[in-house]
Amino acid sequence: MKKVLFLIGILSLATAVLAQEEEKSNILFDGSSYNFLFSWKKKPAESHWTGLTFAFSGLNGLDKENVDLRLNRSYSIDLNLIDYNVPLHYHWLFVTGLGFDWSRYHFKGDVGLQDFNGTSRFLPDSEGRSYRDSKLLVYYATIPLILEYQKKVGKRKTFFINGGVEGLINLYSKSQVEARTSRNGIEKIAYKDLNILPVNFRLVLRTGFDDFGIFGYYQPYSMFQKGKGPELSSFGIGIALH
Amino acid sequence: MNPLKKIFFLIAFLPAYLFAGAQNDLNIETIFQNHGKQKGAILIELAKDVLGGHTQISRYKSLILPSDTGVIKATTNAIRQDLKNGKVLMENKKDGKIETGYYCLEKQDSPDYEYILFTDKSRKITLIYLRGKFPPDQLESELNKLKDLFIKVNNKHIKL
Repeated sequence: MKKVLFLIGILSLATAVLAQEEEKSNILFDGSSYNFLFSWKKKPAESHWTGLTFAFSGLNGLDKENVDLRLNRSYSIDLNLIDYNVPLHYHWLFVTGLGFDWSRYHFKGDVGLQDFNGTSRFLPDSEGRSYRDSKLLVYYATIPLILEYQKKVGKRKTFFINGGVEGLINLYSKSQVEARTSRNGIEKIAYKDLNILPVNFRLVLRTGFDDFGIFGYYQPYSMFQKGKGPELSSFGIGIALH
Repeated sequence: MNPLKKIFFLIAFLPAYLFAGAQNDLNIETIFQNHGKQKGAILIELAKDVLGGHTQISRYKSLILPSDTGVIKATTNAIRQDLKNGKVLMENKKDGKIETGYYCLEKQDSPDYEYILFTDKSRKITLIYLRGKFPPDQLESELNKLKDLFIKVNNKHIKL
């Protein structure tokens, strides 16, 4: 009797354990069991916009001003601080946010960008001095409206491509020349109020894998107010780290 | 009987009592068993082998059937009987009949909550049983996680 009770106890315990372990997934269609495949897909949660970019920059329209750009010293650095993402689908993401752009353009020759009767123009030094350096600095806050596509490649890598529009809000701008003085010295002269548009936009494109990408931008409209400056629009290509 | 032996038998039988399957005692299990294999029925049972690591739902069982007055009546009766002291989380009625209902069953001596979901729409009945360690205010969040689960059966994709 004791043995029977003991066996019943063990059997009950075993049944309880097996009952837990036996729960397996199963699908029946019209009463027939089928094998099935499953996968969990998550909508993308993070974009590849925030981070740091460095691009060599150029200016369209400079040839009309008979001015050349020092390409190796003309660049922009972007620091994209905040993004807000809206997952649209399992591979698509809408991105907006806030970043900053520091652009600088160095010019060849003895001309600098300065205001002349309310219009910004490339002009030589009023005292006929030569310039060691002539540059234009333009700083923007950037607000993107971007669509991004992401796809897993292999087990760990994620390919991405994003593009769209970045709004530009001009925060600061100045033109600066370094004129050689008669005493072999250098005089720095800055010119502000250059009639740069307070708000503008550019088209951007970024692609890469995981935290590294290639970045490019193109500004379709001039950075200066119409009729108050040269028709110059910026473009650039570089790298991005996220 | 020796007190030690009494304690042993109690311990041996206790798991059976606890784990015999809270769901096995439910009246809706009859609906799953009686109609899960009929023509036109889709019965999906998901356990930790599919759900684990992605959601707090530990057991998911759903039955989709063409709408039938007899089955609807039996199902709603079964739900009422299982609900007992449970909670009606949401119930939408149309012409006096339940169109959509979300129910949380009375919590047993277990960390798991049990839910029954029922819809009678577009000429189809859907009966769902869920079990998991999440309270009713997280039910919607856990159901939303199931939207990320893609199942392929017989060259057809099923979305929960």
